[in-house]
Amino acid sequence: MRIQSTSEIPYEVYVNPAIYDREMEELFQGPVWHFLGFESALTQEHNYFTTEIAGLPIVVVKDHGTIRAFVNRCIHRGSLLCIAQTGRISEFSCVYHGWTYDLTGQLTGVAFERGIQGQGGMPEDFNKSEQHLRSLTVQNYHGVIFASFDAQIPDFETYVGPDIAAGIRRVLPRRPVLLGRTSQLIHSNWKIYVENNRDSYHASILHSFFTTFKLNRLTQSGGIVINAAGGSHISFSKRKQEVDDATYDAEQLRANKDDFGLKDPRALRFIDEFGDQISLQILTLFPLTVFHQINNSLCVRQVIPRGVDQVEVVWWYYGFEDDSAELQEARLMQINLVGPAGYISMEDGAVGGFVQRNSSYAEGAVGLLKMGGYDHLSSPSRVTEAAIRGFWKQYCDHLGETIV
Amino acid sequence: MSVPVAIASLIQSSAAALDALDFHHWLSGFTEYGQYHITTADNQRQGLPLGLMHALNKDQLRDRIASISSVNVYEPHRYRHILSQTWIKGQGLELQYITPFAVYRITPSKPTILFVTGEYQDRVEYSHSGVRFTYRTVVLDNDMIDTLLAIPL
Ligand code: FES
Ligand SMILES: [Fe+2]
Repeated sequence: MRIQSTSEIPYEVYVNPAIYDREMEELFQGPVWHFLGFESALTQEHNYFTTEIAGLPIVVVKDHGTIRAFVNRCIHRGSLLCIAQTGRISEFSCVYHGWTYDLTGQLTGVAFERGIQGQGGMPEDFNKSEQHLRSLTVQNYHGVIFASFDAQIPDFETYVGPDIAAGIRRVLPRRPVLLGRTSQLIHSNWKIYVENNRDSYHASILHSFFTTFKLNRLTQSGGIVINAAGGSHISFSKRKQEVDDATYDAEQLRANKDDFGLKDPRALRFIDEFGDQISLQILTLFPLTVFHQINNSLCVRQVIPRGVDQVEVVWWYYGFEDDSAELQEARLMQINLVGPAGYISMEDGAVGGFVQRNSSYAEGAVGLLKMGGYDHLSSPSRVTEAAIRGFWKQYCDHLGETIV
Repeated sequence: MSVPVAIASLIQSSAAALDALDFHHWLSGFTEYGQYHITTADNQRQGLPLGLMHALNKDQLRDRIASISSVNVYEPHRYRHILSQTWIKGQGLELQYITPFAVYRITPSKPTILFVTGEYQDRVEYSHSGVRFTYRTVVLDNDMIDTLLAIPL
């Protein structure tokens, strides 16, 4: 299967298990950065939490102020090492046969290493000091922990480029603290979900609620920023700067339901906490991370592929320790807008499944990504599919045009 | 202490109303300042305030119903609530009625799935016109929502 152009994507890419296997082994474990969680979860020395990267169990631990991440897998026979979601440990100790590791991942103990009374035990050539847990490269970027399987990967900021880095720092002015977490299982290939996040064209059409309340019309001033690698982007818009409402109404979109009004509009309130009038910023990081700011709802969406036709999205809502009562209330109220039950985002849970159901046996058909031309460049217009083309550009740079 | 019949029947009829997509009847089970929250057991245990739905009064519940009835786009579906016996937790101002539940989701031409399990944590108020929820927290056992959560639980 060959991706000949970033504007014509064969549906096979969403259903072929051989492609999924290559992604698991070469893309996700290659030179890319993944979201692991918030530094604020590790308040004390030796705190740990467990998480996943694309289905691989990961444990993150703080040791002498250093945050380390390992594949949560004993090198003896592969058992999970840390079973709880969070905890505190002074060493890793495997429940299965009792092997132990220090918090740098170094093997320190093998039960019955010398056998009993000279019988059994490990062979002479087995040297504990050569045995380590598989460790990841870790970077704490403004209170958010990222990791990569690639020891040679460029640092996080170089990887995403200056514009995307600035967009992340914009929503991380202080150390983030978790306000709640939920998860959503979507019945589509992971790429359909991450394309959806780069699809600024659909947002105000599919999500009627957005448009009805003028939260994000394509005519609002804003734009798209795409990094040089192509796969990471920012889509943003500003509140109260209508360029041309008439264009929208003339289209008579289903989304315009002007007879609809909220009895209690508190959920729509926007406090300009970053002082730039930007009320919406969707920021994607290649391949599996999304940061959203929707009004005052701040969230990292961790995308976890669950087989070729399912993807889990974990929503990590955050705020800051010094949030005013007013800001705190705004973030709480806006849970009604975003997430698996959100007025403006619930449709994304379903639409991916609609594409997936049509992707098997598609007779070689391709999906079209020609809105806004053929490039994957930044633009002031959001009526474009440039960011999705950019995703496919970087995808092909990692896996080649001929995927299988 | 046994659960008053009026309260048990409020809890039952509230579930039955949702199962029948009779949202008007469901809304009638709340006082005007009745609160309604959906969260997960994990978030509740860690004292994290954010969950899935957060309504501070009945108007916000009316907005939910209006939005899912006329604005949001999703595959038509309905629920089937299976409720367990309500029991009483705490006393005085802390008193809550706890009702464990399982909710199945029925989507035409798809298999019925066990959608969520959890418990209702309810507070109620009596008035001349009957008993109503003043505070209803829906605590889900699991973090994961299949596809989406449009209709309240
Ligand atoms: S699998 Fe861990 S000690 Fe055997
Ligand atoms: Fe969307």
